Amino acid sequence: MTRLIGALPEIAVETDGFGRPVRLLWPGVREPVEVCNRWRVAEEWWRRPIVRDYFKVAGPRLLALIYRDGVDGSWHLERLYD
Amino acid sequence: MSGPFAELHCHSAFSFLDGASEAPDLVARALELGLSALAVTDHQGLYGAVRFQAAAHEAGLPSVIGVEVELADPAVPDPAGIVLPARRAPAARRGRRSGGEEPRRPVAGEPVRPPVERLRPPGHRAVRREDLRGVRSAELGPHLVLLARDMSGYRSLCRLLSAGNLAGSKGVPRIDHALLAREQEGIIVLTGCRHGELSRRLLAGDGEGARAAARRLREIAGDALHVELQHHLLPDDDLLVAELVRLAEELSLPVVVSNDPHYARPEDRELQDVLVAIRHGRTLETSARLRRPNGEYHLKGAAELAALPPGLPDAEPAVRAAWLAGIARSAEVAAGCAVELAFERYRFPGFAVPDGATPATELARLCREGARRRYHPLTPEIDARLDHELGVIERSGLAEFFLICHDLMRFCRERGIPAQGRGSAGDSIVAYVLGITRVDPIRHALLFERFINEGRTSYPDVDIDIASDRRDEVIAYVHARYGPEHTGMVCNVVTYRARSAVREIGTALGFPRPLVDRVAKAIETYDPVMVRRDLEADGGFAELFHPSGEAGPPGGAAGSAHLLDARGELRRPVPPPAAGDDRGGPGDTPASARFLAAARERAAGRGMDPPALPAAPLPDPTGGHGSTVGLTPWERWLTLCARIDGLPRHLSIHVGGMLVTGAPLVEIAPLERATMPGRVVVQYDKRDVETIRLVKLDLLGLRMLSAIEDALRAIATDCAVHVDLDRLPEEIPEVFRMIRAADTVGVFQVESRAQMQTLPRSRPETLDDLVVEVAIIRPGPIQGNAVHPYLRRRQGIEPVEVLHPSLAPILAETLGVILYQEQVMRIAIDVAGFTPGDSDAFRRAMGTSRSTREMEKLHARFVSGCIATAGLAPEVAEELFGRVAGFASFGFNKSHAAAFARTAYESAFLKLFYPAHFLQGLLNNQPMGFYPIEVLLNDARRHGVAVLPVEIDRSRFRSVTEWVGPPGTPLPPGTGIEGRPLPVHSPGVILPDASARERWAAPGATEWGVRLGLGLVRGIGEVEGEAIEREVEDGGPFRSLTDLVERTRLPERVIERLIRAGALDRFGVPRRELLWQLGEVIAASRPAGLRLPPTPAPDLPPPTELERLGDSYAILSFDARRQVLDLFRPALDRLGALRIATLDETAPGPVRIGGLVVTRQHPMTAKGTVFLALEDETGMANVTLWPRTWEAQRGVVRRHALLWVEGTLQREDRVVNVIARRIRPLGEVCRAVDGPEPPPGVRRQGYEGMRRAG
Repeated sequence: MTRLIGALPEIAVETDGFGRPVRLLWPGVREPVEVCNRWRVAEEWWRRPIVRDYFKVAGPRLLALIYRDGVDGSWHLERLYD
Repeated sequence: MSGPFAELHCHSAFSFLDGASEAPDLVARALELGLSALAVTDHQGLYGAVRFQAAAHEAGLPSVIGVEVELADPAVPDPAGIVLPARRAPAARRGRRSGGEEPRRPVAGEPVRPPVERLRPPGHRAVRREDLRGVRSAELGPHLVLLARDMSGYRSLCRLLSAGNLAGSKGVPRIDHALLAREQEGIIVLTGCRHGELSRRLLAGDGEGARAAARRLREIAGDALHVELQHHLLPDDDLLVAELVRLAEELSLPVVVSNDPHYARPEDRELQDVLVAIRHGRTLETSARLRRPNGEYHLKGAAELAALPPGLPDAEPAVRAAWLAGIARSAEVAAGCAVELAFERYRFPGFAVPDGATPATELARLCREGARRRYHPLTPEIDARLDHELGVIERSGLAEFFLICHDLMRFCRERGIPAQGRGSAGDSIVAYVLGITRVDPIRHALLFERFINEGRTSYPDVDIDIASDRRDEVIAYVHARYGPEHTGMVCNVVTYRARSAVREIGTALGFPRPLVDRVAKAIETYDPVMVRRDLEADGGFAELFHPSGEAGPPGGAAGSAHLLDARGELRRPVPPPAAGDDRGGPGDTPASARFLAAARERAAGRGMDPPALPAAPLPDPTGGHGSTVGLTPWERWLTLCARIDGLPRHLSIHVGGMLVTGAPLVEIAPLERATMPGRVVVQYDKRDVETIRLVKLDLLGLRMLSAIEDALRAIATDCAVHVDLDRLPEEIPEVFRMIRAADTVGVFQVESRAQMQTLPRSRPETLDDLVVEVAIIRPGPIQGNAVHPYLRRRQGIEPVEVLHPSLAPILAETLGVILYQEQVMRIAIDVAGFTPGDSDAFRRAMGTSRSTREMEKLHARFVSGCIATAGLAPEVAEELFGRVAGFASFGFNKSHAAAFARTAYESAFLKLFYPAHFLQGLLNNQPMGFYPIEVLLNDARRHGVAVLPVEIDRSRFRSVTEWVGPPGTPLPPGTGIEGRPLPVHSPGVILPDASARERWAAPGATEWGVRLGLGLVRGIGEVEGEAIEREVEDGGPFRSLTDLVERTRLPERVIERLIRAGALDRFGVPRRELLWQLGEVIAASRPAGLRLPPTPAPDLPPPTELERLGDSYAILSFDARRQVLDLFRPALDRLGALRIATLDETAPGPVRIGGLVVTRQHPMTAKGTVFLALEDETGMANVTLWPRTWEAQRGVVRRHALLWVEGTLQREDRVVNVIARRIRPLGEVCRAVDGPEPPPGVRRQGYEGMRRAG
């Protein structure tokens, strides 16, 4: 099952030298992850521009879709796969 | 890593509505990024190849010519439909298509085409054009990139594209693998983007199929096949690159990396998205599926590509190695390509000359013959000039070209097709004696070097004007004479202009349709950059740019925020109406009027504007300057409009450019089908053709020539006189008297408002003066302030002086003003000591804005030359250079002006001595000229020409002359008018006196009137008109409405129009009664109908004169019996208004006039001043609105055709102007004194008149 995270909560992410996530950080949790797939979306420039680098990441306990917001550089969780 | 890299797969703006950058931008960006070379591979054609190569050459960047084709079949069988997927069902929109054509079921291996829409341009067979709107690239054939390695590769591309285009339907070439296999010589094949067959198969998991396809392509292309790797940060790109690398390794194929750029810089992505939306006829919001999901399709350099995931250190080693090798390999591939587009050798098809002769000797023989015909006596001067020109022509290898032109003119003469050369060819005595041009270059002192010179910086340019209705005959002749393989029409690139830009971008950005329409129609310029100025200045739209009552910065983001709702959409797009301004404007359609009304109601219901929302501009995440992120929708609209300026939109056929070549045309340029059967178009436009050094013939249609021809033919039949215009003396004083009085409505070139305003001041007395007049009243000289010095000198107010005596002979004819290009060259030769060839180069360099360095070089050379050659003082030489530079940008070709002046003179002659015949010619060749038909008719009536109304039995389809008897005698019965109009007594109406008439006109010339043709009735085409004509010829006059209906079987709506136009008045039945009977008569005439006599109409009141006039204007856009102002005259007299004809004799001061607006001009050169031509039953007046008056009165001027003008009469020499102070609708003013209401038809007429001129 997939859980869509409606509010797109901001998360903390540790990245490697190429800007790819290596660890997701929750309070008290450091989840090492590996990138399975990645893509960039840049859309809706005529309204409120969306620029996101999506990463599908897998860790020992989770499979998640996260993205880095290109506008302000923050990381967000969009989807958790159970 | 940042080694060499060349982009081998790039789209320019000639990938129509897909590529967003023009070649120079791409080239500039490629240089910035340090690319070693750039290829342009537009979709399905080489449309942009020549421009791209020229731009690359200029910038010093190696260029590669290529194309991205869409193949019609898969390389290997595709049973699963991976390569050519079945398309979705066509959209419901196409449901209105008649006929029960079932959508075909998908057949394996064959593309499924959506149903075609039939478009049938008038007079042509049906054209099948596929509607690809809403169809994704993934649903179309697989892509493949082909590059030309050398000239043989270029020729292969041309043949491939030509064959594909001729096999396919218009605009949709059919290129398959078999064709590719035939035409693969010298071609490098890249496997293409995501939509290549290999990628499609790999993405679908069909590895085996991909390998089979790659093997097939290798069979076709051999070593020239390269696997293309691309990475755009899309979800499957990592996988796709890895799979392609594996495939390439297995088959030992080389790889190259490309980025498939569709625009030069990241920020251009926005325009690209808009273009895609436009191409699919959608908005940005509704085209997400069709657009690219991110902005990675810009030109990238080696470093940027190497930093993409496949190039990162932790990528799979084999993939990384292949990726980096592919980047380097692409530069090697580009370095191995060499194509030079120059075809000078293949220019001419080999003109057949008699045995023992060469083209040059044959040309010399023809010229001697011609010279004996043209010149009596043949002086040594003429001989010398001829020898000189023939020598230059022979050495330039252009003798054949002249023989072709001569042959063409011979054909025209034999067939009686009016044709004449113009343009710089007029400078040549060879062209004159061969009968190509009609202006004597010796008599008018024309400079041959302007036409051809041995410096060869320019190519000869022969424009041949042909009577527009017979141009096709000439084109067909050339086609047949030199063979279809060697002749083709040049294409014409249709580019974005203001109105189309505003409309299409507005729609794509999602603005409501009615608003887009209204904005588009309010635009008065075609320059998108000026659109902004225009909209900001326009009272109606200014409010959208800054809040009301506050003079904020134009277009400021905060300023228009209150107009937007939370979604950034326009909240209240249209400002509330000004008082009395409530019926919508001339540009309004019923839909937009409804929309406006609704918007006003909503606005009124809300009362005040809701509080403004903060418009927080977001940081620009794309990082590019020039992005529209953070702008308001209005600003975005305008910014994008400015950016789309000049981008090509689609191709059309050039009006007359014809290419005749030595080598088969398919070896030189790709060909396409034209809409017209059997005719082909090359994919290059006239600029490209010049760049690749081919010579084209320009066969242009000129309606005035047709009009003159029609008039001459009518004169020959009516008056039994053959008027040979070639032998018309150049100095008939009466003709110049008429021109000086500005009595020139309908005369070629000198009839416009601006011309009429200057003629009384410039007072042309000879043809040379007229040449000046044609050349000087143009935007360039007006803006360059050349007009007033000339006029002042002409009037003797200002002395004629030149900077240096050496200039005096050169500038004598233009009174010291530099006006002609020939003069600029002459100055360069005689004063600055240039060679003739250099002088032409100098002229061209001065005319176009060249680089400052080049300019400086010329400057120094010119100044030192002047000092050395003519002994000018340094400061005088500097001054002279400044003047030459100032005038060179608008300099006009004198020979061209001379050709036009000659035609102007001839048309003036006909207008003066054969006014009815001339009018008939003009009427039959509309639309042409400056004025609507109504003005032509009124003008003729003022000159005493009897204009006879449309009448069913007497009118033909075309207007014809009809005998009305000598002036002063009663009209013959049945003319339909009460009496011959009396000539208006006014200084602006010139009639020849008896002695001149006796000398120049045939005896019966004044005994003819013009019977208006049925074709002038709206809705009657050639078919209906000729059906009526035939019926009258065969069966005699119609006896009644029933008779007419039964004999012609014309539809009800056509007959209704005939009734309302007054064409059936002869039946003696009132119009209302005829309309009443029409329905019954039509019903009765049907096969099953009972042939009962029509029931008598109830007692209908007869139509008032006002209603009759309104109908006439609505159906014909004029009235043959009276001008509409006639009806208002009593009211106008009560109000103290003057007749326009009397203005000439009125003292300057306050005046009031009423009139119908016939033209409205808002010239760019006039800095916001607006000019109206107002006509009443006695004449036409100029009304000037200074910018402030226009601002205040524009609502009224735009919405009303009949105007009341209060202003000041000004007279300068004999030019009369009314400076408007106050303008009101005429109806409103006359109502106060019980005047009539303006008939509705007239109101509409005015709108159309304005639209035409605006």
